[in-house]
Amino acid sequence: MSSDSRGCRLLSDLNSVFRKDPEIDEYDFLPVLEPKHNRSPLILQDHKLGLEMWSVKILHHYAYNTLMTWRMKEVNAKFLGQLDLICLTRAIVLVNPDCSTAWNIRKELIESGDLSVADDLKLGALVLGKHPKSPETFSHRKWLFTTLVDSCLANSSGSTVSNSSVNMYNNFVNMDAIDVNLDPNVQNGFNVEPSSKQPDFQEHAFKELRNCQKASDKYPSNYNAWSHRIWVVKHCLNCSLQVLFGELHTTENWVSKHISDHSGFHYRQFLLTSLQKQSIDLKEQFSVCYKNLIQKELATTIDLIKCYEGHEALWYHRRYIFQNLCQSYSAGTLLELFHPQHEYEDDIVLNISQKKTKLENERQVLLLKEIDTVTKSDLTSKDKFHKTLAQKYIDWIQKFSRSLES
Amino acid sequence: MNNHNSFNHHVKSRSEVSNISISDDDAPINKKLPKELLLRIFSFLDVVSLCRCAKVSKFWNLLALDGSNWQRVDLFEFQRDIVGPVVENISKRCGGFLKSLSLRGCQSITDNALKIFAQQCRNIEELNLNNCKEITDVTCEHLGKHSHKLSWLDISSCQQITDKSLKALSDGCHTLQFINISWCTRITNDGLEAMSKGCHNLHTFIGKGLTQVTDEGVGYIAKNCEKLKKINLHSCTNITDDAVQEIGDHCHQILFLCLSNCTRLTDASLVSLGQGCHNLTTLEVADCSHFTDNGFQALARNCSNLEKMDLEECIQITDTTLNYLAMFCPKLSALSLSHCELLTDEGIRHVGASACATEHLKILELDNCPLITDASLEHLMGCQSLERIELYDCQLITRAGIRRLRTRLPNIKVHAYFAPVTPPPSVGNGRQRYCKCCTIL
Repeated sequence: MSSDSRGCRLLSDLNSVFRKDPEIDEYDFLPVLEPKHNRSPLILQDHKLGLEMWSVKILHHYAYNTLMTWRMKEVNAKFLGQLDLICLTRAIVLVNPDCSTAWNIRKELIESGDLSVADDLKLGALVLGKHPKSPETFSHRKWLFTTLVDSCLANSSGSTVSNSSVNMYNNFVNMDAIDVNLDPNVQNGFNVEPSSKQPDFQEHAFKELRNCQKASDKYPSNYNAWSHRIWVVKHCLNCSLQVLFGELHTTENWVSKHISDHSGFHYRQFLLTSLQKQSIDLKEQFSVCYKNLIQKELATTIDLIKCYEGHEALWYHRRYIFQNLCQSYSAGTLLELFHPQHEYEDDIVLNISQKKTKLENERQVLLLKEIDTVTKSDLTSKDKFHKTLAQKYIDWIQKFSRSLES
Repeated sequence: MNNHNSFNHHVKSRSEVSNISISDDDAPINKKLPKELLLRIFSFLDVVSLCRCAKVSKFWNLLALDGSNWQRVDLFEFQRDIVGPVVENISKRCGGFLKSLSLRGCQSITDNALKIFAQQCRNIEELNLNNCKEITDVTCEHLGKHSHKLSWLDISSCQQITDKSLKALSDGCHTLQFINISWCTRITNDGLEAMSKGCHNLHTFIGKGLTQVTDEGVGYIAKNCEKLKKINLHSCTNITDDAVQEIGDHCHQILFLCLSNCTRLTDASLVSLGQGCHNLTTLEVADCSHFTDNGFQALARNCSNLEKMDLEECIQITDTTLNYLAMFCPKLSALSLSHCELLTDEGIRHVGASACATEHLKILELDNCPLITDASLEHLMGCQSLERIELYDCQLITRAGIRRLRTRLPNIKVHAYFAPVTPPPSVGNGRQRYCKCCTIL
């Protein structure tokens, strides 16, 4: 009975803390297992909130039970207004972010217009600071972004939106983050389409990328965070070239500090694949050759492998890069084949066969070179595990080359 | 929600109930029990059970949906499902039988449904439309035209309501005794003037958060409705001491007054209440931060019937106020002093030694009073009827102090951040083990 009253009080304490400081950006549980003084267990300082451990369970128990009796429409359930629901669900997800009922109630509140998407994004970001891996939080955020996109599209006028949206996202460029020399004419071309309508949405999307980065900093191999980041790039930023470039640049530093984080490397693989798909635009707009990008990536990876011996994730990344490189050789040559500079049709047939043999030769050289570098530098390593990884890699290359031949 | 369907599909006139006859094929219960008795039984059922019964057979459908069973209808639990046609069908079926209807929180109800309701159910006495956000003055105009027996009306949080509504009500509903227009923020002094002239029988007026209302509006109510027993002006932030003076001058019968969060009020208000409202039993003045000991002295000397007082966040009051209350208000049973940060143990000593302490005082709230110590708890040990004491965030209170209080007053509920006391189980085990040792030895 008495613990009930404490729960109610703790909830109102929590609400008053958020009222006092709406800019709380981090929270955590303090290892105080029992109340030593008759003092509120919520401590607020410099936008950071601390909850003493003993209070967390009582708070969650109270909030969860109150919300569930309301949800089940039990006879003695307390009537809860929209404001109560917002506060209760907030208390629940701060403690247990994988309570999908709480998130779903918040979805309903957003649909009825009682809660703003921006506020909920803010709460989610706060929750991710403490629970960086929470899958429910990420899926709720996906829903939030989908509603945000829908409302943006509904607000902006007519059919031009779908066409202009790509350009609009392109328009947001973090120039500092991109070490590519942009053609000034191209830049002007972007500025033709002003993106005054949806600065909010882009802001949110880019903030989300930063949130994902924070979450992956906090938890090693945070698959959920990285796959959410992929989702944001794909669905909210339309895989625009400039975003891909910016991301490639910002994550380069990150992966070199997290060499065992397979999810991080997978994200870069996604970026490279998406760039590859748009390699023609890449060349036209940025005068960047995809092949150069992938070669640079291979060089960095080899560098990392040399510096940090015995990390499996690096070797898997190398496999992907190498395979991609081989493919880009074929793709690049095929592109040249149909280039309009071939004026005489008769030459084309001849050219194709010539190119084909040339391509096969080039690829063979590449394969041999790769095997050679690995044998020389890595197989001689003293680290036993590193040696096994190198051997596995060579085995894979041989298998791969056989599959190419057949 | 079944009644949705039932009402849509089986709208029949009442005469069919009397015409229906029982055939040999009917169930034994229908043959044995006369339909008058069945009707009588149905009259005890709630909405959901009635709708279930209506699905049993055609005969039961007629009986269960008979208007006489539907005198008091509360659809609050189904607020999300209720739409206009449901209310229209209920009104048609119940007609003059319906005396009390609650549509609290049914946000999709519109003026049209309530127009039909007002025309059909002219004997309505109680109507709750709290949070029916769609309704406008049109609803109240129809109520004024048709519902002359209305005595209890709640239209709080219907934000489209304006002064026109109150005018219409004052024209038609002269028997109105209870009205709640909280958070109808468009209402102004004019509306209150019109209402007070038509509805002289008001005994309860609840008008929380009427930010456009000033002293003038409250003055009309006070002057014209002298039977008022209960006034709630929570968060009417524009009223001043003059409004309270009008209440003090005219409403001598008043028992309950809430002026919480009317932040412009000063001691003059308390003085005028002390002069006029001697019967006052409940006074809520939370967040009235201008009130001081002088005001409460004047009040306490004259209002000796005070039972409940909420003085939360009256930050200027000191132990002197508690001294006056202890001396002059012997019936005090609930006292909230949370966030009154100047209070000390001395003030609590007065309360503990007062006439109200031993018999009446049941609830004492002292949250966030930082100067209160364990000594206060010692002073309260004589309060035999104390049921609950709130001590959250009184940082000088210790676990030992609470334990001592609990040994003297075993049934008290102490609300503090400390874990509630549970009987220690280890003691019994320890003894047993000792005894076992003895037997082994």
